[in-house]
Amino acid sequence: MMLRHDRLRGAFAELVKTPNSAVGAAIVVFWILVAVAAPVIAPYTPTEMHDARLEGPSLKHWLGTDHLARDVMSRLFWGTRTVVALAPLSVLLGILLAAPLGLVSGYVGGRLDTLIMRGVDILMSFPTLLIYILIITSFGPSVIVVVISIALGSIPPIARIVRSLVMDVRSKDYVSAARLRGERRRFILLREILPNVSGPIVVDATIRIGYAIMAIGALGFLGLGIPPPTPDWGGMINEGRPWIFAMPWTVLAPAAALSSMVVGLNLFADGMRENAQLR
Amino acid sequence: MTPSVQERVLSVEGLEVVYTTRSGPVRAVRDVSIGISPGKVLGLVGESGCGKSTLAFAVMKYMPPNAKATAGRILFRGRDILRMSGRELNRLRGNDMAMVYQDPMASLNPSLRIGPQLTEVLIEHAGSGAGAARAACLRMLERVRMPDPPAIMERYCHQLSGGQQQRVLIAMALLTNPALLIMDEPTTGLDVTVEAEILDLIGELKRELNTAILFISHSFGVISRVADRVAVMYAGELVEQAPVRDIFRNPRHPYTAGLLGCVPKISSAGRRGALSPIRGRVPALHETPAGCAFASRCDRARDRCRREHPGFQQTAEGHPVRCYYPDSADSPGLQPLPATPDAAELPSAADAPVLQIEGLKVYYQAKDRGLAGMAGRHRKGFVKAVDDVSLAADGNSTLGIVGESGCGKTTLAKCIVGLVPPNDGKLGFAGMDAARIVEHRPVATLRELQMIFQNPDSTLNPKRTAGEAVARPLQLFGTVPSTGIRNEVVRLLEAVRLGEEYYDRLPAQLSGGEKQRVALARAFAGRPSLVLCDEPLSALDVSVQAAIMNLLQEFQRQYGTTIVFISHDLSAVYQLCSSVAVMYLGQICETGPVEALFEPPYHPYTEALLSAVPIPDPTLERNDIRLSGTVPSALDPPTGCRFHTRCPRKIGPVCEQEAPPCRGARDGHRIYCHIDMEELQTVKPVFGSVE
Amino acid sequence: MTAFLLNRLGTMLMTMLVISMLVFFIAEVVPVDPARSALGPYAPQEAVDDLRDRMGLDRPAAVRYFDWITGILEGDFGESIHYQRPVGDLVAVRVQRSLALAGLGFVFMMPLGLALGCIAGITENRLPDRIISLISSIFVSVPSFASGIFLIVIFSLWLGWFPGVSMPDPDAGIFDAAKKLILPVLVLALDEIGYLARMTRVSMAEVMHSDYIRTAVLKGISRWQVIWRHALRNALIAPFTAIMLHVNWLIGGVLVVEVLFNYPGLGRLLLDAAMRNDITLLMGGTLVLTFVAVATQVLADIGLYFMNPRIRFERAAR
Repeated sequence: MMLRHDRLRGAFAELVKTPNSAVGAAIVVFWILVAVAAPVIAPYTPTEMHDARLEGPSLKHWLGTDHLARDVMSRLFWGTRTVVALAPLSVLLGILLAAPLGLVSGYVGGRLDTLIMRGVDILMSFPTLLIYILIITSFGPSVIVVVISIALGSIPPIARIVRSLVMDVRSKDYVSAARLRGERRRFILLREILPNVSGPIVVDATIRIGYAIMAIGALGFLGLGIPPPTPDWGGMINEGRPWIFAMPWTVLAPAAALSSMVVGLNLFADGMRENAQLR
Repeated sequence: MTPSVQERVLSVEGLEVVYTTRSGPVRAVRDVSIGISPGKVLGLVGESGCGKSTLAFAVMKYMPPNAKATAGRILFRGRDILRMSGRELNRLRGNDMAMVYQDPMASLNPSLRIGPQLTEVLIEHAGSGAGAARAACLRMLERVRMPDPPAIMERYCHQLSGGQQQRVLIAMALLTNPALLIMDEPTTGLDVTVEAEILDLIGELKRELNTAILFISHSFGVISRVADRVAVMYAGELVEQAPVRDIFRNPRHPYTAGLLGCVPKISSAGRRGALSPIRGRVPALHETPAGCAFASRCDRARDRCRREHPGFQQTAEGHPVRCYYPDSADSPGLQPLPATPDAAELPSAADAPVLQIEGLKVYYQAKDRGLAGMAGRHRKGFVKAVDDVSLAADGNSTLGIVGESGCGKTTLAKCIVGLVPPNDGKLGFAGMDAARIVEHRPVATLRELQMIFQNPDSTLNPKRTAGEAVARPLQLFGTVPSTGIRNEVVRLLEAVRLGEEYYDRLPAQLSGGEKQRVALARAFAGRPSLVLCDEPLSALDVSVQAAIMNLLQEFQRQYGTTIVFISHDLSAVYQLCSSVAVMYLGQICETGPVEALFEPPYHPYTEALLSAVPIPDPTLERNDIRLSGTVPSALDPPTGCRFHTRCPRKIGPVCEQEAPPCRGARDGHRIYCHIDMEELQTVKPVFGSVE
Repeated sequence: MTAFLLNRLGTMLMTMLVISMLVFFIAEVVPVDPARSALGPYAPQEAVDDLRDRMGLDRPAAVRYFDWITGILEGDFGESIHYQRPVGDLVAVRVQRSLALAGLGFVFMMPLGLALGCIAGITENRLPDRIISLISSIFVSVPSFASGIFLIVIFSLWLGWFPGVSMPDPDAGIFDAAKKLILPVLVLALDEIGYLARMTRVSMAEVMHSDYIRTAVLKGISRWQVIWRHALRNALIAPFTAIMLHVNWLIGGVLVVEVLFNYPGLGRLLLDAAMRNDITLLMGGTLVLTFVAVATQVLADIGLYFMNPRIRFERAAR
C-alpha cells in the first residue's frame, strides 16, 4: 500500500514537470478551490436581488449585476459548483455504463462484439447535441436529466476506446499465459486486463470531463440546461445574451471561466498523455 | 593523409556520436575508425544497442535531432560529410552513396506505386527524362532478378513479398551506380530461404560493380557470407577488425570469441553439449566504466583492464584488437564447458509419447465483414493453417518444429496448448484427450502443459512484479505449500540466474533476456511435463539466446520435461532438439531424429532450408539450392504436394495431382515425397564438404 | 468495388432505420401524454383531445411508427403542431441555409486546419510547432458559444466591424450578406480548426518519423519534394477520416452558432421546436439533420477508399 502511494506521488511529480500540464493543473485546482470556498468568498448569495439591475462593475459589485439585479460575481463563484460537480459525475456515469460494454465486447469478441459495435457505430453517427435536446425535451430539464443525457451521449465513444484497448491487451502473451494457467474469466478481466487499460481510460476521462463541461455549458446556453434559478455558467450566458451590447461583462465572465477550465483540463490531459508515451 | 586513405571510398576517423537524453548524454559511438575500398565489403557486427546503426546513419549524416557527432571525421572520397551543407548532401545521397535498410515493407511509400518511387531517383540525380528513367529502372529490376519488371512498376509495396520489396530497395539504391552502399540488417526479418537469395544477389552485385559496401548485421552467419573484412562493435566501440577468415578462425578479442561461442553451429562434426554464453549484460552507455567496456564480463580481465581504457594493438597484419591481452584468446568455445554432457547424455527418447497428434486440422475462417457476410451469404473461405498434421513427442525429449513464416507452426503450437481449438483430428496428451480449448481442459492437464512465448515484451503483465508472476502458478497448482511459495519463487529465480533482488522488479525494469528468464521460471514453476516454446529466442541477442538455450536444457535435465521447440532457426533446433518436424504450408513434409534430418535422404524442402542456413564459417562450401517463387496462399493451397510449385526436384504431373506418400527410413524418419527413397538417398549432403 | 458501395449504402439505411426508431421512441413513446406536453399545462382539455386525435395517439406505438416512417419515405413528415404547416416545407427552407453556413465553415476550416497541422507536424517540437500546438489546444478547449461571445464583443461591440446578428435580409447586397456571415462562419471554423490541426500534426509527425520518409530523404531529393510527394498524402489520410467522423460536432456547432447569431437555419428551428414541445417538427428535423450527418460520413468513407490504395486492395482481396 505504501508502495502504491509512493508511485502515485511519483506520477504526480512527473506530471507537474511538463510546464503545460503544470499550468493546466493549476487552473483546474484553482476552480475546484473556488467551488469549495464559494460560500465564503462570494460576496452575496447567488439568488439575492439588489437595488440596481444591469449595473456596471463597481466596488459593491465587482462584476456588476444582471437583469434580475443579482450579483454576477457571486453567481459565477456559485456556478463553479454546478460544473465541478456535474461534469465529473456524468463522465463517471458514462464510464460505468460504457466500460463493461467495451470490456465484454473486446474480450468475448465474436457475434456479441459485432452486435455491440454495430449499435455503437449507429449511435456515433447520431449528432450528440441532438440526443441531448431530444432527451431533455421528452423528460423536461432537470439536473438529473442533464447528467444522464450527457452520460448516455458519451457511451459510444467510451465503449469504443475501452474495446480497442482491451483487444490490444487481450492479444498479449501474458493473457494467454493466464488462460494456460486456468485462470477464471473474471480474474483475467479484472486482474490481467483492467489494470493495463485503466491508465489510458483515465487520460481519456480527463478529456471527456472537458467535453462534459462544454456540453453542460452548451445546454445552458441553449436554455435547456439546469433550470433557473440555480447558478450555472451556460445559463448565465443565455440570460445575459440579450444585453450583451449593453453589459458585456455579464456574459464575458462566465464564458471566460468556462473556457479557462476546459483549457486547463486539456493541458493537463496532454501532459498526462505525453508522460504515458515517454514511459 | 596516407595513400591508402585516399583510395578508400569511405574513411571514418575517430568518430564520436552523442545522444542527448532525459537521463543525460549517451555516447552511442566512441572513437570509431573504419575504411572501405571500392569493390570491398566491410561487415560490421555486434549486438543490439552497440551503436552500429547509429554509425551507419551518421555516415549518411542522417541523425535524429538529439544526436550529434562531437568528434572525428567522416571522409567520403576525401571530403568530410559532417561539414557538408544540405545541398551538397542531397547531391551525394541516393547518387554517390545509397542505403538499404531493415524492414523493407516500411521503407517503401505505401501510397505510391513502385514505378515513380524508382524513377524519381534518376530524374533527380541523372536528370533523365521519364522515358529513359523508366527504361533504366526496368533494366535494374531485371538485374536484381525481379520477375516481370513492368508489372512490378505498377504495384504498391504491400502487393509484393518481403523478398521482392528488398530487391526493389536494392535496385533503388543501385540505380545511380553509387560508390558507397550501406546495408543495415538487410535480411533481418526475412525467411532463411529468402535471406539466402538476397545474400546471393549481394554477392553477385559485388562482383559485377565496383561499389564499396558497409554491411551491418547482428548475425555472424550472414556476415561470413558477404564480408571481406569484419569489424566487431561493442558498447559503442570497435573492439576488433580483421579479414573475414581471421575473425572466424582466430578471434583475438574476448568479446568476439565469446560471441562466436554463443552461436550454435550445424556441422558434420556432430553436436556439442552446451553453448558458452557471455555472462552479465552490456553496460548502459551513459555510465561507461573508466577501463575496458567489456571488463565486467570478461574472464581474462585483470586490474589494468578495469583501470585503463585499452587502445588498439596490432596482433597481425591488418588485425587490430582493442585488448591488453589479445594473445590469450582461444578459439570459439573459449572456456571448458561446465558440466558438458556428451551427445550420448543428451535426452533420449526413452519413454512413451507424452504428446500424440493425429490428423490435426486447424482452419481459420477468412473474415468477411460485409453486408453479405452478415446475411450469411458469403463464400466461405478457410485458411488451412494446420492441415492434417500427425506428430509425437516422447517423454523427456525435445521435439523441434521448423518452418518459415506462415507455415502454420505457431498455430500448431497454439492448438497444442489449447489457445485455439482444432477443427478435426486427435490430440492426445499423457494418455488424455486434449483436443479442446484451455477453458475446457481439466486442471490436471493445464498444470502439465505450459508455454514460453516469443515476444519478451508482452509475455509478462507490466503491472505485476517478476516474483508475483512466478508465484501465481505455484498458488494455482499448489506445487508447494502456501508458506513455501516465496522460497520456491526465489529458488526458481536463482535457477534462471536472477537473484532474489529481482523479486520486486516490474517488467519495465528488466531487459529482454531477463524477461524471458522470468517467463522460463514461470513456465517451469508448476513442474509441467511438457513445455512448448514458440520462437523463444528470436527477439534476443545471440549471447542471450545461448543462455536461454542452456537454461532450457538444464530445466529439462532436472525435471525430465518434454519440450516442443518451435523455431525458424535450424541452428538452434540442431543444438537443442532430439527430433525434428519440418512444416511447409500447414503440413509436415519431413520428420525424424535430428541426426537423420541433417543428412540425406532429405525432403527437397528440407534440403533447400539447410542449404540456406547462414553458417558462421566463411570457408564452408555448400551446394546452394534456391527456391523459386513465393509461398502460395494458405487460403487456396496447391493441389497434390503443396511444395510442387517451388520444388526444384519436381518429377512430373504426379506432384501436382496426388498427395505425396509417406516414405519411412530408419529410426522413425519419415519423408512425404513422390520421389522414392533410394533416389533421395543419393542426394549430395548439404554439409558434405565441411572440413 | 460495387460490393463496397452496396455495403456502405446498406449500412447507411440500417443506421437511419435504427435512428428513426430511437427518435420516435424518445419523442413519442417515453412521454406519458405527448399532446398535453405539446400544448402545455394550461391548454383546455378539448384542444388536447383534439390534438391527440390528430396525432392518432390512441393507436399502438408500432402502428404509429409505421405510419410515420412510410409517410416520410413518401416525403410527408407530418404537420408541425405549432406552425400548423407541413414539417417538410419548414425544414426544406431551413436546411439549405444551415448547409450554406456549415459549408462555408468547412471551406474555411479545412485548408487552414490541415495547413497548420502539417506545419506543426513537420517542425515537431520546434518553435512553429509549439506556437501552433498551443493555439490549437486553446481553440479545441473553447466551446463555440464562448468563442462566439468573445468575437461578438471584440468585433461588433468594441471594433464595430461586423454585425452581431445575422438575420438574412433579402434586400441586402452581396457585400452586406458576406459581412453578416463572417462572424458565424469564423466561430464555426475556429471550433474545428484546433481539432483538425491537432489530428494533422500527430499524423504528419508520425509520417515524418516513418522509414519510407527516411528512404526518400536518403534518396537525396529536396525537403520540399519529400514532403510534397511522399509525406502529404499519407499524412492526410488520418485527419481526413477523423474530420469526417467529426461531422456530428460540426452540427452541434451549427446549432449553437445559429442561436447565437439569430441565424434562421435548421438548428434554430429545431431548438424552437424543442422549446415549444413541437414533437412532429422536432422528430422530422432531427431525422433530416441526422441523415445529413450519416450521408456525409458515407461519402467520406467512399472518398477514403479512393485515397488509400491499401484499403482498396485489402477489400478487393477479400
